[in-house]
Amino acid sequence: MNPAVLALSFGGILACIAAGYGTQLGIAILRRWNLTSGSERQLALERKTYLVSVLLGWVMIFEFLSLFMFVHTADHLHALFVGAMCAAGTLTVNEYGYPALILKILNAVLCGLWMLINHADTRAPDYPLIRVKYAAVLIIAALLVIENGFQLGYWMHLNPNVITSCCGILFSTGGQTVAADLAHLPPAGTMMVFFASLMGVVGMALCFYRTGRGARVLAVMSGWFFILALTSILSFISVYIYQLPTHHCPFCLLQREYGYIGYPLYGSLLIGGIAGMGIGVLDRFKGIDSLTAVIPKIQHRLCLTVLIGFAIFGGIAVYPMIFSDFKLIGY
Amino acid sequence: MIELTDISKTFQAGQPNAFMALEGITLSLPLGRMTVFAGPSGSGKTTLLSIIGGMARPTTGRIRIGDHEITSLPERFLSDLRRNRFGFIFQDHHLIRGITVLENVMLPAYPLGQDRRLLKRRALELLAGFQIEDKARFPVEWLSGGQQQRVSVARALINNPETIIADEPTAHLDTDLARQFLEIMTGLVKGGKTVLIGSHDPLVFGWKGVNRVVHLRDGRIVGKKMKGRPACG
Repeated sequence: MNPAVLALSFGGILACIAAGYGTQLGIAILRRWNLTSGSERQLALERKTYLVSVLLGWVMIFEFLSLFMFVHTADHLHALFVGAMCAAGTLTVNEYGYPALILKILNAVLCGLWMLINHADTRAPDYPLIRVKYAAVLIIAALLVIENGFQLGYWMHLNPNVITSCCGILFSTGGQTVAADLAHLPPAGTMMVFFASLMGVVGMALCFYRTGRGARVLAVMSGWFFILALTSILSFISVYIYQLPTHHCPFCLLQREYGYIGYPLYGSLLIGGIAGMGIGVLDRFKGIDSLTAVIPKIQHRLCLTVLIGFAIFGGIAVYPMIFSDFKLIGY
Repeated sequence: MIELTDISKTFQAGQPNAFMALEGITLSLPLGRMTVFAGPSGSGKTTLLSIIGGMARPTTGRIRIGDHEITSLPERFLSDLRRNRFGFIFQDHHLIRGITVLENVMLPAYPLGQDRRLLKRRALELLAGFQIEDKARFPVEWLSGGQQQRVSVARALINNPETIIADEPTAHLDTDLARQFLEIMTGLVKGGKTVLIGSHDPLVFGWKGVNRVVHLRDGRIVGKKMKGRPACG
Protein backbone atom coordinates (compact mmCIF):
# COMPACT_ATOMS: atom_id res chain seq x y z
CA MET A 1 0.00 0.00 0.00
CA ASN A 2 1.09 3.53 -0.74
CA PRO A 3 2.00 5.44 2.47
CA ALA A 4 -0.10 8.43 1.38
CA VAL A 5 -3.12 6.15 0.86
CA LEU A 6 -2.63 4.68 4.33
CA ALA A 7 -2.21 8.15 5.85
CA LEU A 8 -5.38 9.45 4.19
CA SER A 9 -7.36 6.33 5.08
CA PHE A 10 -6.34 6.23 8.74
CA GLY A 11 -6.57 9.99 9.03
CA GLY A 12 -10.07 9.83 7.57
CA ILE A 13 -11.12 7.07 9.96
CA LEU A 14 -9.75 9.04 12.93
CA ALA A 15 -11.56 12.15 11.68
CA CYS A 16 -14.80 10.14 11.52
CA ILE A 17 -14.30 8.81 15.07
CA ALA A 18 -13.65 12.34 16.36
CA ALA A 19 -16.65 13.68 14.43
CA GLY A 20 -18.74 10.82 15.87
CA TYR A 21 -17.71 11.86 19.38
CA GLY A 22 -18.57 15.45 18.47
CA THR A 23 -21.96 14.28 17.20
CA GLN A 24 -22.67 12.55 20.50
CA LEU A 25 -21.91 15.76 22.39
CA GLY A 26 -23.80 17.77 19.77
CA ILE A 27 -26.98 15.76 20.35
CA ALA A 28 -26.63 16.22 24.13
CA ILE A 29 -26.12 19.97 23.66
CA LEU A 30 -29.07 20.35 21.29
CA ARG A 31 -31.32 18.48 23.72
CA ARG A 32 -30.12 19.61 27.13
CA TRP A 33 -28.05 22.81 26.95
CA ASN A 34 -29.31 25.29 29.53
CA LEU A 35 -26.87 27.97 30.62
CA THR A 36 -29.11 29.09 33.47
CA SER A 37 -28.83 25.70 35.13
CA GLY A 38 -26.00 24.84 37.50
CA SER A 39 -26.64 21.12 37.26
CA GLU A 40 -23.81 18.61 37.06
CA ARG A 41 -24.88 17.66 33.54
CA GLN A 42 -24.81 21.26 32.30
CA LEU A 43 -21.40 21.97 33.84
CA ALA A 44 -20.04 18.75 32.36
CA LEU A 45 -21.33 19.81 28.92
CA GLU A 46 -19.62 23.19 29.32
CA ARG A 47 -16.31 21.53 30.18
CA LYS A 48 -16.59 18.98 27.37
CA THR A 49 -17.36 21.56 24.73
CA TYR A 50 -13.82 23.03 25.05
CA LEU A 51 -12.22 19.67 24.41
CA VAL A 52 -14.56 18.72 21.59
CA SER A 53 -14.30 22.10 19.87
CA VAL A 54 -10.52 21.84 19.87
CA LEU A 55 -10.70 18.25 18.64
CA LEU A 56 -13.14 19.17 15.87
CA GLY A 57 -11.00 22.16 14.95
CA TRP A 58 -8.12 19.78 14.22
CA VAL A 59 -10.45 17.46 12.29
CA MET A 60 -11.48 20.43 10.15
CA ILE A 61 -7.85 21.38 9.50
CA PHE A 62 -7.09 17.78 8.55
CA GLU A 63 -10.09 17.77 6.24
CA PHE A 64 -8.89 20.93 4.57
CA LEU A 65 -5.40 19.51 4.02
CA SER A 66 -6.70 16.08 3.02
CA LEU A 67 -8.36 17.61 -0.06
CA PHE A 68 -4.96 18.55 -1.43
CA MET A 69 -3.36 15.31 -0.20
CA PHE A 70 -6.07 13.29 -1.93
CA VAL A 71 -5.53 14.99 -5.28
CA HIS A 72 -1.76 14.82 -4.88
CA THR A 73 -1.95 11.09 -4.11
CA ALA A 74 -4.30 10.41 -7.02
CA ASP A 75 -1.87 12.29 -9.24
CA HIS A 76 1.09 10.35 -7.84
CA LEU A 77 -0.67 7.02 -8.56
CA HIS A 78 -1.21 7.73 -12.26
CA ALA A 79 1.89 5.72 -13.22
CA LEU A 80 0.10 2.55 -12.06
CA PHE A 81 -2.70 2.82 -14.59
CA VAL A 82 -2.49 2.44 -18.34
CA GLY A 83 -3.74 5.60 -20.01
CA ALA A 84 -3.64 7.88 -16.97
CA MET A 85 -1.32 10.91 -17.12
CA CYS A 86 -2.46 12.70 -13.97
CA ALA A 87 -5.16 12.61 -11.28
CA ALA A 88 -7.83 13.17 -13.93
CA GLY A 89 -7.26 9.67 -15.29
CA THR A 90 -6.61 8.02 -11.91
CA LEU A 91 -9.89 9.29 -10.50
CA THR A 92 -11.84 7.62 -13.33
CA VAL A 93 -10.40 4.16 -12.56
CA ASN A 94 -13.56 3.44 -10.58
CA GLU A 95 -16.87 5.11 -9.80
CA TYR A 96 -15.77 6.33 -6.34
CA GLY A 97 -13.00 8.75 -7.37
CA TYR A 98 -14.84 11.87 -8.50
CA PRO A 99 -17.65 11.64 -5.90
CA ALA A 100 -14.92 11.43 -3.22
CA LEU A 101 -13.23 14.52 -4.68
CA ILE A 102 -16.47 16.52 -4.88
CA LEU A 103 -17.37 15.55 -1.30
CA LYS A 104 -13.89 16.58 -0.16
CA ILE A 105 -14.30 20.01 -1.75
CA LEU A 106 -17.76 20.41 -0.21
CA ASN A 107 -16.52 19.28 3.21
CA ALA A 108 -13.46 21.55 3.04
CA VAL A 109 -15.77 24.52 2.46
CA LEU A 110 -18.19 23.46 5.22
CA CYS A 111 -15.32 22.78 7.64
CA GLY A 112 -13.87 26.22 6.90
CA LEU A 113 -17.23 27.86 7.62
CA TRP A 114 -17.61 25.80 10.81
CA MET A 115 -14.21 26.95 12.01
CA LEU A 116 -15.29 30.56 11.52
CA ILE A 117 -18.50 29.99 13.51
CA ASN A 118 -16.48 28.24 16.22
CA HIS A 119 -13.99 31.12 16.28
CA ALA A 120 -16.80 33.65 16.78
CA ASP A 121 -18.46 31.50 19.45
CA THR A 122 -15.29 31.21 21.50
CA ARG A 123 -14.86 35.00 21.45
CA ALA A 124 -18.06 35.51 23.48
CA PRO A 125 -18.47 34.63 27.16
CA ASP A 126 -21.92 33.04 26.86
CA TYR A 127 -21.61 30.38 24.11
CA PRO A 128 -24.01 32.25 21.79
CA LEU A 129 -23.52 29.92 18.80
CA ILE A 130 -23.23 26.63 20.65
CA ARG A 131 -26.43 25.14 19.23
CA VAL A 132 -25.76 26.34 15.68
CA LYS A 133 -22.20 25.04 15.91
CA TYR A 134 -23.16 21.56 17.07
CA ALA A 135 -26.14 21.31 14.72
CA ALA A 136 -23.63 21.95 11.93
CA VAL A 137 -21.37 19.25 13.40
CA LEU A 138 -24.16 16.70 12.91
CA ILE A 139 -24.38 17.54 9.20
CA ILE A 140 -20.61 17.76 8.67
CA ALA A 141 -20.02 14.49 10.55
CA ALA A 142 -22.53 12.69 8.30
CA LEU A 143 -20.86 14.13 5.19
CA LEU A 144 -17.42 13.17 6.56
CA VAL A 145 -18.53 9.56 6.99
CA ILE A 146 -19.96 9.47 3.46
CA GLU A 147 -16.84 11.11 2.04
CA ASN A 148 -14.52 8.70 3.79
CA GLY A 149 -16.71 5.81 2.66
CA PHE A 150 -16.20 6.95 -0.93
CA GLN A 151 -12.49 7.51 -0.32
CA LEU A 152 -12.04 4.02 1.12
CA GLY A 153 -14.16 2.60 -1.69
CA TYR A 154 -11.91 4.38 -4.16
CA TRP A 155 -8.70 3.00 -2.67
CA MET A 156 -10.14 -0.52 -2.32
CA HIS A 157 -11.41 -0.68 -5.89
CA LEU A 158 -8.24 0.52 -7.58
CA ASN A 159 -7.66 -2.12 -10.23
CA PRO A 160 -4.38 -1.81 -12.14
CA ASN A 161 -5.86 -3.82 -15.03
CA VAL A 162 -8.33 -1.06 -15.80
CA ILE A 163 -7.35 0.98 -18.84
CA THR A 164 -8.29 4.55 -18.14
CA SER A 165 -8.17 7.78 -20.14
CA CYS A 166 -5.77 10.68 -19.97
CA CYS A 167 -6.91 14.21 -19.26
CA GLY A 168 -6.53 15.10 -22.94
CA ILE A 169 -9.41 12.72 -23.71
CA LEU A 170 -11.52 13.49 -20.63
CA PHE A 171 -11.52 17.24 -21.25
CA SER A 172 -11.53 17.10 -25.07
CA THR A 173 -14.26 18.55 -27.27
CA GLY A 174 -15.63 15.06 -27.81
CA GLY A 175 -15.86 14.35 -24.09
CA GLN A 176 -19.26 13.24 -22.81
CA THR A 177 -18.88 14.72 -19.34
CA VAL A 178 -20.01 17.91 -17.62
CA ALA A 179 -16.32 18.77 -17.10
CA ALA A 180 -15.70 18.46 -20.83
CA ASP A 181 -18.67 20.74 -21.54
CA LEU A 182 -17.38 23.29 -19.02
CA ALA A 183 -13.88 23.05 -20.48
CA HIS A 184 -15.25 24.09 -23.83
CA LEU A 185 -17.30 27.06 -22.84
CA PRO A 186 -16.55 29.92 -25.24
CA PRO A 187 -13.28 31.40 -23.86
CA ALA A 188 -13.99 35.03 -24.73
CA GLY A 189 -17.39 35.02 -23.03
CA THR A 190 -16.12 33.08 -20.02
CA MET A 191 -13.18 35.47 -19.67
CA MET A 192 -15.49 38.47 -19.75
CA VAL A 193 -17.75 37.02 -17.06
CA PHE A 194 -14.71 35.92 -15.03
CA PHE A 195 -13.02 39.32 -15.02
CA ALA A 196 -16.29 41.17 -14.45
CA SER A 197 -16.99 38.89 -11.48
CA LEU A 198 -13.43 39.24 -10.15
CA MET A 199 -13.63 43.01 -10.32
CA GLY A 200 -17.11 42.90 -8.83
CA VAL A 201 -16.13 40.75 -5.85
CA VAL A 202 -12.90 42.69 -5.19
CA GLY A 203 -14.81 46.00 -5.48
CA MET A 204 -17.48 44.73 -3.10
CA ALA A 205 -14.80 43.51 -0.68
CA LEU A 206 -13.08 46.91 -0.74
CA CYS A 207 -16.45 48.58 -0.13
CA PHE A 208 -17.16 46.23 2.80
CA TYR A 209 -13.65 46.72 4.19
CA ARG A 210 -14.20 50.48 4.32
CA THR A 211 -17.87 50.70 5.28
CA GLY A 212 -18.77 47.35 6.85
CA ARG A 213 -21.86 47.22 4.64
CA GLY A 214 -22.97 44.58 2.16
CA ALA A 215 -21.77 41.48 4.01
CA ARG A 216 -24.37 39.17 2.54
CA VAL A 217 -23.93 40.51 -1.01
CA LEU A 218 -20.18 39.93 -0.65
CA ALA A 219 -20.85 36.39 0.57
CA VAL A 220 -23.07 35.58 -2.42
CA MET A 221 -20.56 37.13 -4.81
CA SER A 222 -17.72 35.15 -3.21
CA GLY A 223 -19.67 31.90 -3.56
CA TRP A 224 -20.47 32.71 -7.16
CA PHE A 225 -16.86 33.63 -7.91
CA PHE A 226 -15.62 30.41 -6.26
CA ILE A 227 -17.72 28.29 -8.64
CA LEU A 228 -17.05 30.51 -11.64
CA ALA A 229 -13.29 30.41 -10.98
CA LEU A 230 -13.31 26.59 -10.98
CA THR A 231 -15.16 26.69 -14.29
CA SER A 232 -12.74 29.29 -15.64
CA ILE A 233 -9.77 27.10 -14.72
CA LEU A 234 -11.24 24.42 -16.96
CA SER A 235 -12.22 26.86 -19.68
CA PHE A 236 -9.19 29.13 -20.17
CA ILE A 237 -6.92 29.62 -17.14
CA SER A 238 -5.37 26.15 -17.43
CA VAL A 239 -4.95 26.62 -21.18
CA TYR A 240 -2.92 29.78 -20.67
CA ILE A 241 -0.74 28.14 -18.02
CA TYR A 242 -0.07 25.10 -20.24
CA GLN A 243 0.13 27.30 -23.36
CA LEU A 244 -1.69 24.54 -25.22
CA PRO A 245 -5.12 25.40 -26.65
CA THR A 246 -6.43 21.84 -26.31
CA HIS A 247 -5.20 21.12 -22.77
CA HIS A 248 -7.90 21.96 -20.20
CA CYS A 249 -6.89 19.63 -17.37
CA PRO A 250 -7.39 21.09 -13.86
CA PHE A 251 -5.02 18.50 -12.32
CA CYS A 252 -1.82 18.81 -14.39
CA LEU A 253 -1.46 22.25 -12.77
CA LEU A 254 -0.47 20.37 -9.63
CA GLN A 255 2.49 18.66 -11.29
CA ARG A 256 6.15 19.58 -11.10
CA GLU A 257 6.28 20.45 -14.86
CA TYR A 258 4.08 23.45 -14.10
CA GLY A 259 5.87 24.42 -10.89
CA TYR A 260 3.06 23.03 -8.69
CA ILE A 261 1.23 26.26 -9.53
CA GLY A 262 -2.12 24.54 -8.91
CA TYR A 263 -1.54 24.47 -5.14
CA PRO A 264 -1.37 28.25 -4.63
CA LEU A 265 -4.03 28.69 -7.32
CA TYR A 266 -6.58 26.39 -5.68
CA GLY A 267 -5.44 27.20 -2.14
CA SER A 268 -5.93 30.95 -2.57
CA LEU A 269 -9.30 30.41 -4.24
CA LEU A 270 -10.50 28.09 -1.48
CA ILE A 271 -9.33 30.39 1.32
CA GLY A 272 -10.73 33.50 -0.37
CA GLY A 273 -14.02 31.74 -1.12
CA ILE A 274 -14.48 30.42 2.41
CA ALA A 275 -13.57 33.78 3.93
CA GLY A 276 -16.05 35.57 1.66
CA MET A 277 -18.88 33.14 2.36
CA GLY A 278 -17.95 33.21 6.06
CA ILE A 279 -18.56 36.97 6.17
CA GLY A 280 -22.17 36.35 5.17
CA VAL A 281 -22.63 33.39 7.51
CA LEU A 282 -21.34 35.38 10.50
CA ASP A 283 -23.45 38.38 9.52
CA ARG A 284 -26.53 36.39 10.49
CA PHE A 285 -25.35 36.39 14.11
CA LYS A 286 -24.17 39.96 14.63
CA GLY A 287 -27.48 40.88 16.27
CA ILE A 288 -26.63 38.67 19.28
CA ASP A 289 -25.64 40.96 22.17
CA SER A 290 -22.39 39.26 23.05
CA LEU A 291 -21.33 39.16 19.39
CA THR A 292 -22.15 42.69 18.26
CA ALA A 293 -18.60 43.87 18.95
CA VAL A 294 -16.91 40.59 18.03
CA ILE A 295 -18.30 39.80 14.59
CA PRO A 296 -17.42 43.06 12.79
CA LYS A 297 -13.76 42.56 13.80
CA ILE A 298 -13.74 39.00 12.47
CA GLN A 299 -15.52 40.09 9.30
CA HIS A 300 -12.94 42.83 8.81
CA ARG A 301 -10.09 40.32 8.96
CA LEU A 302 -11.99 37.91 6.72
CA CYS A 303 -12.52 40.68 4.19
CA LEU A 304 -8.77 41.24 4.10
CA THR A 305 -8.37 37.48 3.55
CA VAL A 306 -10.86 37.64 0.66
CA LEU A 307 -8.90 40.47 -0.95
CA ILE A 308 -5.55 38.73 -0.52
CA GLY A 309 -6.89 35.30 -1.56
CA PHE A 310 -8.64 36.50 -4.69
CA ALA A 311 -5.77 38.85 -5.56
CA ILE A 312 -3.33 35.91 -5.47
CA PHE A 313 -5.74 33.79 -7.49
CA GLY A 314 -6.32 36.58 -10.01
CA GLY A 315 -2.59 37.29 -10.20
CA ILE A 316 -1.72 33.66 -10.96
CA ALA A 317 -4.55 33.44 -13.51
CA VAL A 318 -3.66 36.66 -15.29
CA TYR A 319 0.15 36.36 -15.24
CA PRO A 320 0.47 33.98 -18.24
CA MET A 321 -2.13 35.96 -20.17
CA ILE A 322 0.03 39.07 -19.93
CA PHE A 323 3.56 37.74 -19.92
CA SER A 324 3.43 34.78 -22.34
CA ASP A 325 3.31 34.87 -26.13
CA PHE A 326 0.41 32.46 -26.15
CA LYS A 327 -2.93 33.96 -27.18
CA LEU A 328 -6.18 31.99 -27.02
CA ILE A 329 -8.03 34.24 -29.47
CA GLY A 330 -9.23 32.27 -32.49
CA TYR A 331 -9.65 28.90 -30.73
CA MET B 1 -22.19 40.70 46.29
CA ILE B 2 -20.54 37.38 45.52
CA GLU B 3 -23.33 34.80 45.40
CA LEU B 4 -22.69 31.09 45.52
CA THR B 5 -25.59 28.79 44.65
CA ASP B 6 -25.49 25.07 45.41
CA ILE B 7 -21.75 24.72 44.85
CA SER B 8 -20.35 21.23 45.05
CA LYS B 9 -17.05 19.78 43.97
CA THR B 10 -16.28 16.12 43.49
CA PHE B 11 -12.77 14.97 42.67
CA GLN B 12 -12.38 11.73 40.66
CA ALA B 13 -16.12 11.82 39.93
CA GLY B 14 -17.46 8.46 38.82
CA GLN B 15 -14.38 6.61 40.10
CA PRO B 16 -14.25 4.26 43.09
CA ASN B 17 -12.03 6.84 44.85
CA ALA B 18 -14.45 9.74 44.20
CA PHE B 19 -14.18 12.40 46.88
CA MET B 20 -16.72 15.12 47.51
CA ALA B 21 -14.74 18.15 48.71
CA LEU B 22 -17.72 20.54 48.78
CA GLU B 23 -21.42 19.87 49.00
CA GLY B 24 -24.34 22.25 48.50
CA ILE B 25 -22.63 25.53 49.42
CA THR B 26 -25.08 28.41 49.09
CA LEU B 27 -23.78 31.70 50.36
CA SER B 28 -23.83 35.45 49.77
CA LEU B 29 -20.58 37.29 50.45
CA PRO B 30 -20.77 41.06 50.74
CA LEU B 31 -18.24 43.12 48.81
CA GLY B 32 -15.88 45.43 50.69
CA ARG B 33 -15.75 43.14 53.74
CA MET B 34 -13.38 40.59 55.22
CA THR B 35 -14.79 37.06 55.29
CA VAL B 36 -12.93 34.13 56.79
CA PHE B 37 -13.63 30.51 55.88
CA ALA B 38 -12.65 28.62 58.99
CA GLY B 39 -12.33 24.91 59.39
CA PRO B 40 -9.91 22.04 59.92
CA SER B 41 -7.65 20.63 57.27
CA GLY B 42 -9.75 18.87 54.59
CA SER B 43 -12.87 20.90 55.31
CA GLY B 44 -12.94 22.36 51.77
CA LYS B 45 -11.58 25.88 52.39
CA THR B 46 -8.93 25.78 49.67
CA THR B 47 -11.31 24.17 47.17
CA LEU B 48 -13.96 26.79 47.84
CA LEU B 49 -11.50 29.68 47.51
CA SER B 50 -10.14 28.17 44.27
CA ILE B 51 -13.65 27.97 42.83
CA ILE B 52 -14.57 31.52 43.87
CA GLY B 53 -11.30 32.76 42.35
CA GLY B 54 -11.90 30.94 39.07
CA MET B 55 -8.91 28.64 39.48
CA ALA B 56 -11.12 25.53 39.59
CA ARG B 57 -14.56 24.75 38.30
CA PRO B 58 -17.36 23.36 40.48
CA THR B 59 -19.06 20.07 39.72
CA THR B 60 -22.45 21.72 40.26
CA GLY B 61 -23.66 25.21 41.07
CA ARG B 62 -23.10 28.76 39.92
CA ILE B 63 -21.25 31.79 41.21
CA ARG B 64 -22.29 35.34 40.42
CA ILE B 65 -20.13 38.38 41.08
CA GLY B 66 -22.39 41.38 40.72
CA ASP B 67 -24.15 40.90 37.38
CA HIS B 68 -21.67 38.39 36.03
CA GLU B 69 -21.97 34.62 36.24
CA ILE B 70 -18.43 33.23 36.29
CA THR B 71 -18.64 29.43 36.44
CA SER B 72 -19.78 29.07 32.84
CA LEU B 73 -17.10 31.37 31.45
CA PRO B 74 -14.85 29.92 28.77
CA GLU B 75 -11.22 29.70 29.87
CA ARG B 76 -10.03 32.83 28.03
CA PHE B 77 -12.57 34.96 29.92
CA LEU B 78 -11.84 33.21 33.19
CA SER B 79 -8.14 34.09 32.78
CA ASP B 80 -9.04 37.75 32.29
CA LEU B 81 -11.27 37.58 35.35
CA ARG B 82 -8.50 36.07 37.48
CA ARG B 83 -6.04 38.70 36.33
CA ASN B 84 -8.30 41.71 36.76
CA ARG B 85 -10.65 40.91 39.63
CA PHE B 86 -8.71 38.66 41.96
CA GLY B 87 -5.38 38.79 43.72
CA PHE B 88 -4.14 35.56 45.27
CA ILE B 89 -2.02 35.03 48.37
CA PHE B 90 -0.90 31.47 48.97
CA GLN B 91 0.22 29.60 52.06
CA ASP B 92 3.69 28.95 50.60
CA HIS B 93 3.81 32.35 48.88
CA HIS B 94 4.61 30.74 45.49
CA LEU B 95 7.21 33.38 44.72
CA ILE B 96 9.57 32.58 41.88
CA ARG B 97 13.10 31.97 43.08
CA GLY B 98 15.99 33.32 41.04
CA ILE B 99 14.30 36.57 40.06
CA THR B 100 14.12 39.77 42.06
CA VAL B 101 11.44 40.89 44.47
CA LEU B 102 10.42 43.63 42.01
CA GLU B 103 10.06 41.19 39.10
CA ASN B 104 7.98 38.84 41.25
CA VAL B 105 5.60 41.68 42.06
CA MET B 106 5.36 42.83 38.43
CA LEU B 107 4.88 39.34 36.99
CA PRO B 108 1.03 39.04 37.10
CA ALA B 109 0.73 42.32 35.18
CA TYR B 110 2.88 41.25 32.22
CA PRO B 111 0.03 39.60 30.24
CA LEU B 112 -1.92 42.87 30.37
CA GLY B 113 0.74 44.65 28.33
CA GLN B 114 0.91 47.78 30.46
CA ASP B 115 3.61 50.39 30.10
CA ARG B 116 6.64 48.93 31.89
CA ARG B 117 7.73 52.22 33.51
CA LEU B 118 4.27 52.78 35.00
CA LEU B 119 4.12 49.18 36.12
CA LYS B 120 7.52 49.41 37.78
CA ARG B 121 6.51 52.61 39.55
CA ARG B 122 3.34 50.96 40.84
CA ALA B 123 5.25 47.88 42.03
CA LEU B 124 7.75 50.07 43.91
CA GLU B 125 4.89 52.04 45.48
CA LEU B 126 3.33 48.80 46.71
CA LEU B 127 6.65 47.58 48.10
CA ALA B 128 7.14 50.97 49.78
CA GLY B 129 3.68 50.63 51.32
CA PHE B 130 4.83 47.40 52.97
CA GLN B 131 8.25 48.83 54.00
CA ILE B 132 10.28 46.52 51.77
CA GLU B 133 11.15 48.92 48.96
CA ASP B 134 14.84 48.60 49.83
CA LYS B 135 14.63 44.85 49.04
CA ALA B 136 13.27 45.39 45.52
CA ARG B 137 16.50 44.38 43.76
CA PHE B 138 17.18 41.37 45.97
CA PRO B 139 16.55 37.83 44.78
CA VAL B 140 13.36 36.80 46.53
CA GLU B 141 14.96 33.85 48.31
CA TRP B 142 17.13 36.24 50.34
CA LEU B 143 14.04 37.51 52.19
CA SER B 144 12.65 36.23 55.50
CA GLY B 145 9.26 34.49 55.69
CA GLY B 146 7.46 37.65 56.81
CA GLN B 147 9.08 39.73 54.09
CA GLN B 148 8.16 37.11 51.49
CA GLN B 149 4.58 37.24 52.74
CA ARG B 150 4.51 41.01 52.16
CA VAL B 151 5.96 40.54 48.68
CA SER B 152 3.16 38.09 47.91
CA VAL B 153 0.59 40.64 49.12
CA ALA B 154 2.18 43.30 46.89
CA ARG B 155 2.06 40.85 43.98
CA ALA B 156 -1.64 40.15 44.66
CA LEU B 157 -2.34 43.89 44.48
CA ILE B 158 -0.35 44.74 41.35
CA ASN B 159 -3.39 44.54 39.04
CA ASN B 160 -5.52 46.48 41.57
CA PRO B 161 -8.07 43.66 41.98
CA GLU B 162 -11.41 44.10 43.73
CA THR B 163 -10.99 40.92 45.75
CA ILE B 164 -8.03 39.42 47.60
CA ILE B 165 -8.11 35.68 48.21
CA ALA B 166 -5.69 34.36 50.82
CA ASP B 167 -5.35 30.66 51.59
CA GLU B 168 -3.84 29.87 55.02
CA PRO B 169 -1.79 33.08 54.87
CA THR B 170 -0.55 32.87 58.44
CA ALA B 171 0.44 29.20 58.45
CA HIS B 172 4.17 29.94 58.32
CA LEU B 173 4.15 33.18 60.30
CA ASP B 174 4.74 33.79 63.97
CA THR B 175 2.12 35.71 65.96
CA ASP B 176 3.63 39.17 65.38
CA LEU B 177 3.99 38.63 61.66
CA ALA B 178 0.47 37.15 61.46
CA ARG B 179 -0.89 40.29 63.18
CA GLN B 180 1.05 42.48 60.75
CA PHE B 181 -0.47 40.57 57.86
CA LEU B 182 -3.98 40.94 59.28
CA GLU B 183 -3.41 44.68 59.77
CA ILE B 184 -2.52 44.92 56.11
CA MET B 185 -5.71 43.04 55.15
CA THR B 186 -7.78 45.31 57.39
CA GLY B 187 -6.25 48.31 55.64
CA LEU B 188 -7.19 46.85 52.27
CA VAL B 189 -10.81 46.37 53.38
CA LYS B 190 -10.89 49.99 54.56
CA GLY B 191 -9.65 50.89 51.07
CA GLY B 192 -12.71 49.15 49.57
CA LYS B 193 -11.28 45.72 48.77
CA THR B 194 -13.07 42.47 49.47
CA VAL B 195 -10.87 40.02 51.39
CA LEU B 196 -11.61 36.29 51.54
CA ILE B 197 -9.36 34.22 53.80
CA GLY B 198 -9.27 30.49 54.35
CA SER B 199 -7.69 29.62 57.68
CA HIS B 200 -7.78 27.29 60.64
CA ASP B 201 -5.79 29.80 62.73
CA PRO B 202 -7.93 31.15 65.65
CA LEU B 203 -5.89 34.36 65.49
CA VAL B 204 -7.32 34.97 62.01
CA PHE B 205 -11.00 34.27 62.58
CA GLY B 206 -10.86 36.03 65.94
CA TRP B 207 -9.29 39.13 64.37
CA LYS B 208 -11.07 42.41 65.06
CA GLY B 209 -11.18 43.39 61.36
CA VAL B 210 -13.01 40.23 60.28
CA ASN B 211 -16.64 40.94 59.37
CA ARG B 212 -17.85 37.42 58.89
CA VAL B 213 -16.73 33.88 59.68
CA VAL B 214 -18.07 30.89 57.74
CA HIS B 215 -17.30 27.56 59.40
CA LEU B 216 -16.76 24.59 57.13
CA ARG B 217 -16.45 20.91 57.94
CA ASP B 218 -16.38 17.97 55.54
CA GLY B 219 -17.23 20.26 52.65
CA ARG B 220 -20.36 21.71 54.23
CA ILE B 221 -21.20 24.95 55.97
CA VAL B 222 -21.66 24.21 59.64
CA GLY B 223 -21.97 27.77 60.87
CA LYS B 224 -21.96 31.39 59.79
CA LYS B 225 -21.22 34.23 62.13
CA MET B 226 -21.41 37.96 61.54
CA LYS B 227 -19.09 39.67 64.01
CA GLY B 228 -21.07 40.62 67.10
CA ARG B 229 -24.00 38.38 66.21
CA PRO B 230 -24.83 34.83 67.33
CA ALA B 231 -23.85 31.87 65.22
CA CYS B 232 -26.43 30.36 62.94
CA GLY B 233 -26.52 26.94 61.30
